[in-house]
Amino acid sequence: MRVTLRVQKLDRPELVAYDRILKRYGAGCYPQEPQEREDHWKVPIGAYVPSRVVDEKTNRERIFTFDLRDVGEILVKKSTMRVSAATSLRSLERNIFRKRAEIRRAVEQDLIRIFGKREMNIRFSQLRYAFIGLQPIFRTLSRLLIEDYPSQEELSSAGLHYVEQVNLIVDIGYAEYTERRPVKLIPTNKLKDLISQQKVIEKTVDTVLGLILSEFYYDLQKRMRIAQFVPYVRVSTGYYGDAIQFGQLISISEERLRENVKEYYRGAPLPPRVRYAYPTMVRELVEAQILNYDGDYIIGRDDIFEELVDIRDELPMSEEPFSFG
Amino acid sequence: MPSNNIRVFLRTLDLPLNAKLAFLEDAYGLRNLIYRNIPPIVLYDRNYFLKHVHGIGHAVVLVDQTEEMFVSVDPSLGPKYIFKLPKTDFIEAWRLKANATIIIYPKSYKIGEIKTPSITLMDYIPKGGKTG
Repeated sequence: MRVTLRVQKLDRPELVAYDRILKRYGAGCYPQEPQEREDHWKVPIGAYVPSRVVDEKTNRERIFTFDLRDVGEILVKKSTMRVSAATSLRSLERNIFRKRAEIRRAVEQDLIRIFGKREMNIRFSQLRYAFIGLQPIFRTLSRLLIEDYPSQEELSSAGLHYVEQVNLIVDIGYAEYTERRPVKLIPTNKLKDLISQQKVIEKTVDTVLGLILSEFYYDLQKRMRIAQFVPYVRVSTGYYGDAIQFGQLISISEERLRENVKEYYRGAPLPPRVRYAYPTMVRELVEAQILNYDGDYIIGRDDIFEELVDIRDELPMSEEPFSFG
Repeated sequence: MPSNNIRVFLRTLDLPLNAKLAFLEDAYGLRNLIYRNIPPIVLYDRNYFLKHVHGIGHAVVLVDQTEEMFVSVDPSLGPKYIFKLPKTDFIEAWRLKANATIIIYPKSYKIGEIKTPSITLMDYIPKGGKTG
């Protein structure tokens, strides 16, 4: 049997690109506005990436779509109206991961900024594993607070790595080196004011650690290679990232939260702490007052969420019509 | 799924079926295919169809038609898969995806194509008869 159909000629660059997209990438991608070049058209590719968020306690589910632009490109030759070059499927996937990572990083950065807010009263000292990596800061702060001022020589003898961390306290203006010899590290008025306001050493340490983390999180992680704090930030981002998408605090199980972290940091290696000591880490986050328990579920804190939720308007996402809110 | 993968999949199943992607000129082609018992897979903008907001392409199989409706099978609506699409709204949302249609047909069939300029006459005339 013969069937004859009237079809559109591939005579527009966006149509040629769309044909290639549907044949090689799938219907989740689309051609953006073509850009004219000398002998060809450049058609950037955008991608719609769905994301499902569930409140497990109420069993409410919402499906969102991220509109990620410029994840690849197709070049269409003017003379032949055929594709002369196109981003490979693997590169396209990599670019989509990169774009999603940028969104996740925006949430992460906001969360870290909030960690530095004193009024949040986050108890960083409860994050025990993170403390292993931040011992130089913790020890030095504790000494400053009991007026046992270390000399520069003493700090240097502990190693460059040690001094680098201690200098972060100087960088945020809570300690300084004396000008007279022997050079000693002493608290500034800022630190003295803080201890007089808060009265408890542990609370002061929490505040200063929060400030250091909010200022130098990426420096600590990349330059100083102190990664112990990373799993806590990733789990927190895994929770609040979903809550921001949902538009309100959600109750999710530990298992679901672990899946979120995997999904959010897809491509990045999962820190051992997330893989092996996950329940302990969640408990520590609750003790640090970053997350809370809601019966068998995990829920966030209202005031942290309120500080974060503004970023929702900046996310390139829309809600699917078949999503049930 | 990219339409090329559908062809590969059909080949691995060793079924006497072929698949092709076509940008049909209009809905007459769809009616023609349904009439000949070749249910087309159409790609349309479901967000636009439901909310008049542009969004991701959604694929359904058109299995039947009435005077005013296309009858579709939509796996995303399971367990109730059958969904009736009013033709006028559907055609508008389908056009936003360039009337993209995947046709899976028996190898014994021959699908011939008559190629027509992709732009509408209204766009075509002001450009002095030039396409692209």
